[in-house]
Amino acid sequence: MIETIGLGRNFDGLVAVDDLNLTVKNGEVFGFLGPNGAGKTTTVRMLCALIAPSRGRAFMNGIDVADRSQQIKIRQMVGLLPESPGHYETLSAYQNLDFYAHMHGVPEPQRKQRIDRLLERLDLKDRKDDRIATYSKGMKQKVAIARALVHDPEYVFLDEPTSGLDPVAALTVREFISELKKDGRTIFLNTHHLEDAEKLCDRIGVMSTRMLALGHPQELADSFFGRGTVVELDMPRPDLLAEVQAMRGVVAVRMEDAKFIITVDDPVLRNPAIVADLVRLGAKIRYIEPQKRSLEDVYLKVVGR
Amino acid sequence: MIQWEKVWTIATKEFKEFRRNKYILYSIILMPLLLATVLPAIYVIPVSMFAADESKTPMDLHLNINLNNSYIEVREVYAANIEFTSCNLTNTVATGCIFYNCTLTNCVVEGSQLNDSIVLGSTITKCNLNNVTRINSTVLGSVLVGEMTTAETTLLLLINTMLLFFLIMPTIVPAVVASYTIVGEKLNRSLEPLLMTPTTDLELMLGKSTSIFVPTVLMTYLAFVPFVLIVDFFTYPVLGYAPLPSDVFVIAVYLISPLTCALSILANIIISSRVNDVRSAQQLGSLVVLPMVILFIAALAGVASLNAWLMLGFGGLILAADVVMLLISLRLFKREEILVNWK
Ligand SMILES: Nc1ncnc2c1ncn2[C@@H]1O[C@H](COP(=O)(O)OP(=O)(O)O)[C@@H](O)[C@H]1O
Ligand SMILES: [Mg+2]
Repeated sequence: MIETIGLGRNFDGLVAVDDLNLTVKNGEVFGFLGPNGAGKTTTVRMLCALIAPSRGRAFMNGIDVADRSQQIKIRQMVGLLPESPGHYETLSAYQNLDFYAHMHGVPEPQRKQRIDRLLERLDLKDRKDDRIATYSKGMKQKVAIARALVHDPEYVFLDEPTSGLDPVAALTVREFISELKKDGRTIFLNTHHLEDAEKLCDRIGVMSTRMLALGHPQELADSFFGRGTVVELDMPRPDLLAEVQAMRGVVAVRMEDAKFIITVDDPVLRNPAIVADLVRLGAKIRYIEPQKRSLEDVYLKVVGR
Repeated sequence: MIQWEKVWTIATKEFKEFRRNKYILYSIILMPLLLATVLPAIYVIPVSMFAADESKTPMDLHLNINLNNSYIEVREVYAANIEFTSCNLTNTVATGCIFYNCTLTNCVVEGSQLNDSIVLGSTITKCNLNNVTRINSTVLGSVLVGEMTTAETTLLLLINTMLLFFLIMPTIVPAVVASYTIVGEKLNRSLEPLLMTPTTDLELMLGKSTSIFVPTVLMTYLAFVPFVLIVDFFTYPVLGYAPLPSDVFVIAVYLISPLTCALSILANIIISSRVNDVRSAQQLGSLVVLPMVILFIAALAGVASLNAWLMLGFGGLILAADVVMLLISLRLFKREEILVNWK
């Protein structure tokens, strides 16, 4: 479990992270969203015991990240994909991974097996003995992900894993992350790629120095926008607007072409009556569907101004 | 508790990288060997080749002494076939004489034997001189018994000066290598994943330092072998003995050069934390050599000859500097520092 209590960090007077309270359960994929400079990397570095918190506390599996004597334990259970891959470019992918496996004390037979399996899964096997300098950006990123996993960590921190990649490379990386999810690892994903967060994450936090919103992507959308129902008719019926507005449980209603977008306090309870009323009023209903608010809407509302 | 196998894992990884970098290979392997052979060749060989065959055996003067003088003042006379002991001679012309413990001022001396004396503003021709201090005097066609020839003194001075090479080499090489392995890694951001490994800050710093220290010191030790062979081969005919390895050199190469190497590595770690391109790191890093050269030249100029005690003192000084630099670099080579303040 990752747990932070009032966590904060300053850089010479600049508050980078403030009053962060967060719990990530084991096996969960947590998406950490926020604009550039929001403090995502700083938070991850504190959780990985690379830099010390200025305020508050953070625990990884109950180990205080500020406890210097326990830092080695934290590093053994944590894998990090940093913002830039930072490989030894003159060495091969295999040599790079072998070095890190050594540093993590992975014993000999397992070391080779694990590296080979990772390279296989990431489609890098054919190029494993080529110098990293000859790799594409996407391949370098994949090697960096393999490096974060070479010691089989319980927690994986991915700092903007798809940023700067072409769509195909981004897709492989994304697919690999969803596979990691199946392994049952806890994944902490820093991103400003909202689609990634929406597809991959069980829960997201939107932050800008402080945590602004926290929850399941759809829950967040619901809590920010209410839960809407979209009713599409055969033709625009502006004459019904006032009557819909007056129905039980309706918070707001809006028309878009032939659609009523109705925000209801409790859709499950109210929708049957609303539909019945509409039919009674002579509306010809084509489709009824729950309204989808994208994470982008949430993000823009929380972060944007 | 330092986990040495982690330190060594880092160092061997660095060695693999060195093998792929021709600048590093050049500065670690080729430069020391090249300099250790070329330097003595261009300095020592010409001097030994063209050293005049100055004889050191006294001439047979056919002296025929018929008078002994002690403790007297002699002025403006012509002296022949006289033995002077502890005398002062001024404006005097002497032939076929023997001088013991005398002072000769503005004299002209010919065909004589001078022992343990001082000559001032005089002209000495065809004499045997044994332990004679000469001030503003001209000595022609004479033998300086037991004294070193110009060629010999020049050679010994040259050899001592080349000692500098064994202090400079282990200072320059780390500057070049560190510029690639520390500044280069910083620019390439490959330090960050390394910081994520279960190692202490000290182990990381030791790993990096060992990878530079071991090959540099090994090559310095190795380069000493051809250096000694070349110097001895070409100076033996002139000096009549093999000047190397002398105690001064052994102390310098085997004791002081590892200390200067460590000093340079530590200084370069400090520089790397503040510098953002490989070239300025190399230039700044090479400056570490300056205080050492200045100190060494001051020692050469100020003291008659380099001796073992002087070298040990010099080593002690560098060791003290090492300790200071170690304390500073330990403060800088910390995860927090590297991530937050290494710009
Ligand atoms: N080493 C540092 N020194 C000074 N300020 C820093 C440093 N690292 C980060 N910051 C500042 O802290 C804030 C958060 O940065 P960061 O955690 O990198 O954000 P994000 O990863 O969300 O883009 C930014 O304003 C950034 O300028
Ligand atoms: Mg960031």
